[in-house]
Amino acid sequence: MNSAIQLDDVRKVYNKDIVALNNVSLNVREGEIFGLLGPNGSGKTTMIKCISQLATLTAGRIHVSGIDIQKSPKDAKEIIGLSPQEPKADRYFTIQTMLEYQAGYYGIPRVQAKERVVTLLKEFDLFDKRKEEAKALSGGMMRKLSLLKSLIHKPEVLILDEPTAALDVEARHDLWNHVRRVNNNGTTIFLTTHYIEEAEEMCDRICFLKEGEVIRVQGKDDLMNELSQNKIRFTFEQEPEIPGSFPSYTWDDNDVVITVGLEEQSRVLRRAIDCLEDNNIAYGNFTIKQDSLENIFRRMVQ
Amino acid sequence: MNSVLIRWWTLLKRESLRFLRVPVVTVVPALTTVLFYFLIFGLVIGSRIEQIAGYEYIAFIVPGLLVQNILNGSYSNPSGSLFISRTYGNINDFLLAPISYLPFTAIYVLAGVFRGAVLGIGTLCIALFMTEISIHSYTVFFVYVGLISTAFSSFGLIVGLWAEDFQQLNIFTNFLITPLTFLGGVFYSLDMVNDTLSIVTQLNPIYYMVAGVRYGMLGFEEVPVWIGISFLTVVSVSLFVCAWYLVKIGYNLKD
Repeated sequence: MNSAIQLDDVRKVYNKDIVALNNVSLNVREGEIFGLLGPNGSGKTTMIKCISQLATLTAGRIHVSGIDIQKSPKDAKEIIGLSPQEPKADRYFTIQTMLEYQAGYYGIPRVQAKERVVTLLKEFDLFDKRKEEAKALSGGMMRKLSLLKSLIHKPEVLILDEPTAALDVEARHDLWNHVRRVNNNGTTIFLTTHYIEEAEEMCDRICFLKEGEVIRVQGKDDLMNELSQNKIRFTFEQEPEIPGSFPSYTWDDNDVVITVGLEEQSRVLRRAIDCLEDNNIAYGNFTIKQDSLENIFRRMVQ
Repeated sequence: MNSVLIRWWTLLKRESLRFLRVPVVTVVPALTTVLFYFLIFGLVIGSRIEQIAGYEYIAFIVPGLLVQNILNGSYSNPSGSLFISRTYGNINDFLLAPISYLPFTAIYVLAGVFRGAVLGIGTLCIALFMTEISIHSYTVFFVYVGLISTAFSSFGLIVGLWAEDFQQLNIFTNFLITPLTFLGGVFYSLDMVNDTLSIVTQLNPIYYMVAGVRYGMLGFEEVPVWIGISFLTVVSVSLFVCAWYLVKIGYNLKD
């Protein structure tokens, strides 16, 4: 699969000694939804700024759809759309005029720009607000406007920096539906989010970033398979004597808890049940609690 | 129109229409001020002043007031626009767009020149009601006006990049441009003032701008025209190159 974004040994240092990105290498595949996760200050926004040329690189190279952003910055800008962390809008003009200008900055002729703006405004349910200024919009509408702006020139790569921050549940779902639709049309999505469950639901692959370094990049399913720590819990009416052949476990009140990876879960569960039955130990019930990406994320960044 | 020209034209249109959208802030105060200058200095005080080099006092101050409004307008547009865009964050709209640094700089400067021209035309319109307006040399007049507005627009762009807050943004207007303008021969000729003020005036670059435009309009040559044009050309080009360089390195624009 072709590369949509390629980072090679990217280094970004602020004020000579604050290392925001430390020799980061990364490959985002064409057409995927790629999630960048990391705690505050891990370098996520810096990475986005470097890719979209809002920050200069200290060292390394970045290619977007094969275009070297340092050698051909204008060509790269033509195929990148960015919705920044804090959505901003030109305060001097109405939403429709501002969007038509936005299209013009990318060289779209006036007639086409007008048509595209109307289409997008309708698609994003902002058509009724077209004659108003951006300050009249709610937080959710501003987010949608920011996404709309970043799509005006039909970018090949769409970068979203915490696009659902401070949105309520309904607005978040609405926005993600738009993002999915854009992705289904072939646009690569590169996003950061603080809502780990969103990354879990949306992303094909996930990158964990910590203190400016990539800790892990993996497909979401592989990541869950490899790093999940599911909990199998057996409940007993009275505390039993657990045989030595029982899988490794811990006590939680009268319950026995086995922590196990997703791949070996079935085998371990079978072994535990067989062991209890072979030794005539009665158990009330057992439950399996699936691990979440959020827990994996917490363990990785600790 | 090809896509590159569309980008440039859109940015120029945005920058030019921006100030026309808020005329109460960007155009009306400057023209109101100049109207009061004409009324007080021209009609009330000027009626008690003898002719200067054969010109009525009110006609003598027209070129100076024209320069004052042109340079203020040219300076304010890029400095204010860029500073506000940086402060409110919508500067990213332009930085993310595929527009090279040189046209980006030139467009901001050109929009400043346009605002200077709007204020200049407004000033001349007001002056027409007060006195007779004539142009002695169109070439000298337009070369001077073009160079003055380019120089101050480029300077405004540099300040718009540099300023971190409104206080810094206004420092140059309040403590440099306004005092220099008043001491730049707008309201007097050198033979009207004592030696000290005459020397101070001759050390003031704005004096040469006023003198040049005054020659272009009235034919009254206090300073050889070629000196003023040479000096202004060097200043304009230097400031423009400096502004371009700062934009290119992303000074206060990029992280």
